[in-house]
Order: sequence, then C-alpha cells, then structure tokens
Amino acid sequence: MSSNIKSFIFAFVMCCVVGLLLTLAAEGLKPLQARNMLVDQQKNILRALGIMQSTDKWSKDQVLSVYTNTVESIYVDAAGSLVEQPSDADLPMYVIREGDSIQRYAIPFKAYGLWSWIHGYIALDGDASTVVGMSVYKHAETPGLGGECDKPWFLNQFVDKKIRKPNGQLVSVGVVKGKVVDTIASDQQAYYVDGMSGATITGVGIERDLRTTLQQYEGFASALLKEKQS
Amino acid sequence: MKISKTAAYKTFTAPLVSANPIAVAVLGICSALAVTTQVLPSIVMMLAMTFVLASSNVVISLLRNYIPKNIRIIVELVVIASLVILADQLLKAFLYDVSKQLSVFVSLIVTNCIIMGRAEAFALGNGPWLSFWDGLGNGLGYGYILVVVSAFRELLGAGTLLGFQIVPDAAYAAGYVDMGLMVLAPGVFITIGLLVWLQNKWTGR
Repeated sequence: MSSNIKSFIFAFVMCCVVGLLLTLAAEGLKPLQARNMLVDQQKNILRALGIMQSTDKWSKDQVLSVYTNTVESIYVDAAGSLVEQPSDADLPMYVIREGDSIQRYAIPFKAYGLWSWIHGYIALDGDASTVVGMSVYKHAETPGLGGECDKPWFLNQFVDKKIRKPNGQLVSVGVVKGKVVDTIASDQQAYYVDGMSGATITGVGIERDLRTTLQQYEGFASALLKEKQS
Repeated sequence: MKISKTAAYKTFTAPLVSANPIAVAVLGICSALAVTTQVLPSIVMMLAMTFVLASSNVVISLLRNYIPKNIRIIVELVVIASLVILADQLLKAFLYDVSKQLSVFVSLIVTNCIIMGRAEAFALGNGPWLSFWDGLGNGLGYGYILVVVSAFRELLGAGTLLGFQIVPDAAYAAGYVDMGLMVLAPGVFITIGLLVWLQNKWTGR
C-alpha cells in the first residue's frame, strides 16, 4: 500500500473516531451546561434587580427558586403595552411586582466596547428614572482595563443614579473619563459614573448603547409613569 | 531500586525544576500572562493543562508507530484539539463560573507550544508510561509557576487570595493602596522575570 493511501485511511479513521467521541461528550454534557447558563442568566438579573449582592454565594437551586418566586419575565411592544405572543420586534424585560404595580424592572442591554459586545442587565425603580442596579455577564474587553466593566466597583456606582431629568427628559447615565467629582458640576453628578482608567472606548460604548437601549423602552416607561399618576 | 532512580521519576521531576517549561524554556508565556490575575483560575488552568498534556502524550505515544510520517503534525494537532474541546466542555458543565473567567484561554491551550513541543520531542520517541509522566511533570511544572505568579498578583494587586481578603481593612484605612500594576500585564513580566532569575540562581545555570 502506498504511503499516501495509508495516510488518507489513517486520517479518515481518526476523524471518525474523534468526531464520534466529541459528539458523545458534547451531547452528554449539554443538559448540565444549559442549566448552568440558565442559572447564570437568572443570577445576573437578580443582581441587577438588587435582590442578590455581588458578594452573595448562592447555590444553583437557591438562585432558581428565588428567581421563580420573585421575578416575572414579560415582553412589551414599542408603545409599552404587554405582549402575550412575543415577536422579534418586542422587547424583553424582567419585572418584580408588588400587588399589581411594578416595583422595579430589569432590561437587558448590549453595548459595543473596544473589542466585543458587553452583555448585561440594567434595573430601574418603578419611577422609571432611578437605577437600582446593573450587571454584566459577558464581554471580551482587556482584563484589568475595559475588563473592569464587570467588576462590582464599576457596576455598583450605577445604583441610585438617575436616567431622567426632573422634567422627564431621558438623559441616561454617562461614563466620564476620570472621576465624576473632578469633571462634572455637582448638580449633574447624579447622571454620571466614574470611567475605567485606560478604557475610554469601553466607557464611551457603554454610555452610547445604554442610552439607545433605554430609549427603546421609553414607550414602556411613559406608560408606567402614566399608570402611577392615575 | 529506589524510586528516585527510576526513569519515570526522572522524567517527572526534570520539568518541575531543571527543565521547567516556563522558568527555563520560557514557553507558554501568553496564557501565563492572561490567566494569572487570580489564584483560582490559575489552579483550574493548571489542571486543564495537565490533563490535556498527560493524555495527549499518552495517546500520541500509543499511536507513534502507526502515525504516517507525512501527516504527523496534523494528527498530533487533532488529538490535542479534541482533548482541549473535551476539557472545555467539562469545565462548562462542572465549573461554569471559572470557565467564564478563563474564557478563550482554555481553547487556546491548543496553541500552547508546550503541548506540541512535548508531543514532538518526547511522546513520538518514548513509550506511553514515560510519556504520561513527562506530560504530568510538564503540566504541573507549568501550572505551579502559574499559581505562584497568580498568588503574588492577587495578593499585591487585590489584597486577596482565592477570593478571601488577606490585607486587613485597617491597612486600607491607614492609607495602604493595592498595587494596580500587578493586575496588568507588566506585573507578570516582572514576577516571571524575578522567578526565572531565582530559579537560575538556585540551579546554578
């Protein structure tokens, strides 16, 4: 047998064996992985909503049960009314109700930083203007620089910031270059957080895409505010 | 025969000190830079690396008389890549948080030149028993440097070890500041540089 044919046969058999083994491993582990991903998503929603602190170490079952008992997943359309059968254009959100009224709600966002999409949740109070928390669960920014965007020191700054002027105009939360206390006038500081040093572009991306996301939910926010007033 | 005289023992211990892949051969620096900001990911990286290295050495050593010479490198890569995917899948199933932290660096074990290097230099010419010990030794030799470096970085850069706070609050109150440089890439170059120096001083090279 010529050496070329031998090589082909060897390569073919090897591919079959390796392919089979990897398929078995991937399929066998899939349920465990899917559960981990679900728990991770719910954990991040709970963190944004301020129910779970970043220092809490909860078991998977604990996360699942707390989530099921407190959070309701809904879809709204651009005008802010509830959609039963969601389509692609509808907006997902996660709400906590107290009685019938919405006490706080989390919305998913994604922002393009320097290298990657940064995925996370931002949660707002029922007044649709105060941030109750933020979490980031996926990104590929530079560790130590833009990678700081998933660290508690950065995310916790968003708590109690305002996304809306007293007159109702949406301004979102800005990420400044440097420290807020050094750069922003004291009556505007409620709308800004400190940036990450060495990661200006990550900060700019988060600021820009956070505003875009919040704008999409303005229909819901004004409906919510109207409901609260009446 | 004393255990320290066996070939397996020598094969296992050489890469731990005198032929250490990082401190002596300065291989695998890329992943050493990336995953060593904290101790926990470094330990997991050490385990994943040792698993891949030991198994790939054994498999390639078992196949060494059958692998056609002209597709040798491809076969080695397929074996290594499959084992890495397996390790990655296992991490995602059982250690999800750590696998998120390690992100792409688990898959990048494929390109770690230590593995390919050991396959070419050792497994192709030796039996599975010795190859296993060679893989184990190189994996741990690579890994313990990672853990030492990450311990320095986490302690000096964040004041914690394995996530537990070591530097007391009183020190921060008194004006102690974490050394931000250690968390960044230059921190690794400095630490590894010092380690290489100590190692060479110690072994008298």
